[in-house]
Amino acid sequence: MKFLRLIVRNALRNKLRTGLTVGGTAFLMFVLLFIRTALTEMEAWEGEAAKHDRIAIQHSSGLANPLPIELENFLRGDEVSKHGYQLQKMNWFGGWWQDPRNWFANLAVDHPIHRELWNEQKIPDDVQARWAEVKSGAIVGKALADKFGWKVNQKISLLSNLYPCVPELDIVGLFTVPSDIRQEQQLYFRWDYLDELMGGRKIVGTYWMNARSSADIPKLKEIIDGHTKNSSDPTETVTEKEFAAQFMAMMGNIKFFVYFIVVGVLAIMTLMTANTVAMSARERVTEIAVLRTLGFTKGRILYLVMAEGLLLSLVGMVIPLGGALLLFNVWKLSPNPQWFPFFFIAPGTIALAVGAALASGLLAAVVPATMSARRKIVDGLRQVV
Amino acid sequence: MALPLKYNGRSLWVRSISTIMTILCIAGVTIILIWMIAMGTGLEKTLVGTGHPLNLIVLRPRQTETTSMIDRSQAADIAALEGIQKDTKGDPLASFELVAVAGHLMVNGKKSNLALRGIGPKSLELRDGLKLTDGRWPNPGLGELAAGKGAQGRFTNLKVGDRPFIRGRQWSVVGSFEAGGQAYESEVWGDIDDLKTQFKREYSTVIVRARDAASMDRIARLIGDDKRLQLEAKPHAEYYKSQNQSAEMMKGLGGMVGFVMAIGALFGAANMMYAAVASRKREIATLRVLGFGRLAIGFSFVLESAFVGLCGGILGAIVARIFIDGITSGTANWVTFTDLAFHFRVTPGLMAQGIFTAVFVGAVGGLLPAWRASRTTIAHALRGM
Repeated sequence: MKFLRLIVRNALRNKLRTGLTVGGTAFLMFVLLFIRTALTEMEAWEGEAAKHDRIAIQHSSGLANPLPIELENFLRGDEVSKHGYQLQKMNWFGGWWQDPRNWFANLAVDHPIHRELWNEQKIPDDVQARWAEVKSGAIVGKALADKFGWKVNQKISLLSNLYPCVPELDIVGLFTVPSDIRQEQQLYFRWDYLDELMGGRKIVGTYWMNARSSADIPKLKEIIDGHTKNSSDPTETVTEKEFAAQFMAMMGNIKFFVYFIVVGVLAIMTLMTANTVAMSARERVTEIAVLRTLGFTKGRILYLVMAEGLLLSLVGMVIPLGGALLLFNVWKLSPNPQWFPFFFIAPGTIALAVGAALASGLLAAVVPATMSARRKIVDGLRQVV
Repeated sequence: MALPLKYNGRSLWVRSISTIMTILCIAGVTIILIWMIAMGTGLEKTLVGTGHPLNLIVLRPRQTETTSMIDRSQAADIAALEGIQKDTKGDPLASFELVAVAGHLMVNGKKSNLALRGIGPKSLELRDGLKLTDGRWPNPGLGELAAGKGAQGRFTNLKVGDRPFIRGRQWSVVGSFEAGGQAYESEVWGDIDDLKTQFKREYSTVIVRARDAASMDRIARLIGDDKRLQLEAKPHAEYYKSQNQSAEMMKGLGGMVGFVMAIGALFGAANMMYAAVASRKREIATLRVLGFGRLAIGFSFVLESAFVGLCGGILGAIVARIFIDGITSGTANWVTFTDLAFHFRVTPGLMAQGIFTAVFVGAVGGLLPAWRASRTTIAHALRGM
């Protein structure tokens, strides 16, 4: 640490070069943060979902296939009730508001049980009461209402490519999700209203319920899936996390693509820093020889050059990280609000950035540093730069 | 008078390590740029290239092949409309089809949604570019399937001779087909009545071939104006084009990432050129003494930098062409929620785009250093060490 001043001064000797290197790494580091955040934002629901004991009952042939209404009786029966409660019917309506580009999550649900089952959503009492009164009522997450500029009591109609009907909804109130603002991107309306519009066809997308404890989940899976196994509509009972994960699986190999780019960016960053460290080490050959004469050990020279590389890459990391945190986490901007309502840099991504900067700084400096340390003093002094 | 190019070439050779590192940086950026765009365009091509220009697809307003519903008598009415092309036997070229969705195990061990298309006697005739690569087309009533090449690559149990269990029954795969990269390659085709029975669905669409462009408009109007039908007819190609959302998102994000990375690379190129200018001060002054103008010297440095960009661009484009072109992947079509296989496509056009960006990065990165070089004052530079 006592050489910090020397290291900083060395780095600042050629300000232009240092500036360009830090600038270049900063842009690349921004790409790394950006691309990894696109991944974590897609996966965000999975992480949230793992905190609950909720389960979903879906058709074993996938969500596109509806479930029979008769199943509801069985799910409310004694055998299932021992292990699970708060049963809810939920249909993904897949609607948009005014323009297909304005799509968001809108679901038809059994409203009486909604507040208890999804208890992280904070629905005020009066809102819940009005929802029970107004059949065409809908509750809207606060962030979603802000996005579209919706007010309470506003009428909105949704168009969908899944259902041929057009629900005309009355916004009865807003809800918040203090634990994760991302979950405020939904709109819920009443399942009985959707069913009325569909002429009482009793279409059920999924059933949801709360397991009495996490130990009950395997039992519920066994009982429910066993019951429907030989029917014409067999079910697949999954935890909320598994439910969320199936959408990631549908996205495809995103994870691999993201890490491919991360590695690529890392390599380019390393080359860039290496170039600079090599240049400055080459210029200082005589100087380093003098330091060695003064009694600096090989190890210390190694340390000095390595530290300079590290300094460059760390500064090149801190600037874009700070910028990205400000843009995305504080100002809540998003590069594509339609796909990513929020674009929060996750703690894991920060760790990745720090790790990447350390690795790239060290890797970049290792060759020039070893060369500087190994050079014989006489050779160093003889060389004319 | 312009400086000979040989001068630039030799200069780059003298600083070969620094030059190579910069070339590698720019090559890396080019590869990632091409990767991002190749993913988006590959996905786009499967959707945008699908559908015969004279085909119309008839479905419920706003809905897709997976959700629309058309009953038998409506379908028959549509097939009887004036303006539909007739085949040699005098039957109208109209096909009643159903696309059903079933969750199916993918080769990576996860589950995604497989699209199954129920086809009738005219389905093959209505589509160009279909090629049976193995086995035969399915016969009616036997639960036979033909699998698209893309679907076979993504899902398990779809090879000829396999007997997959889908939506309550065992099917047998009797053929496999290609469709020239169209979206059909991601589907599995079976007999329409087999699928209707098994999925408890009606027809979802009617596809017709119009005699010419004028009758295409007329048929679409007739169907749209008929209040009893509650259906709409769209050009087949347009229907697929409108499902392009994932590709648009990928291209958008890819463009952003590419842009930021290009700026990063620009810094790297500028860094290299500044170092070059600094180390050649006296050389530049000598050139000025010999009578080369400021403009010629500045231009020469921009050219040198652009040349480094060109080398990096060509290297990156070649590597991308060899390793990225033809990679097969897949993602969900977020309009129908079915899996869509696509190939990364590194076309000559895309390679040119990558190389152009690299040259641009090199040239712009060299601008400021070149300006500095051109401003070198003779006396100062010659005197200074």
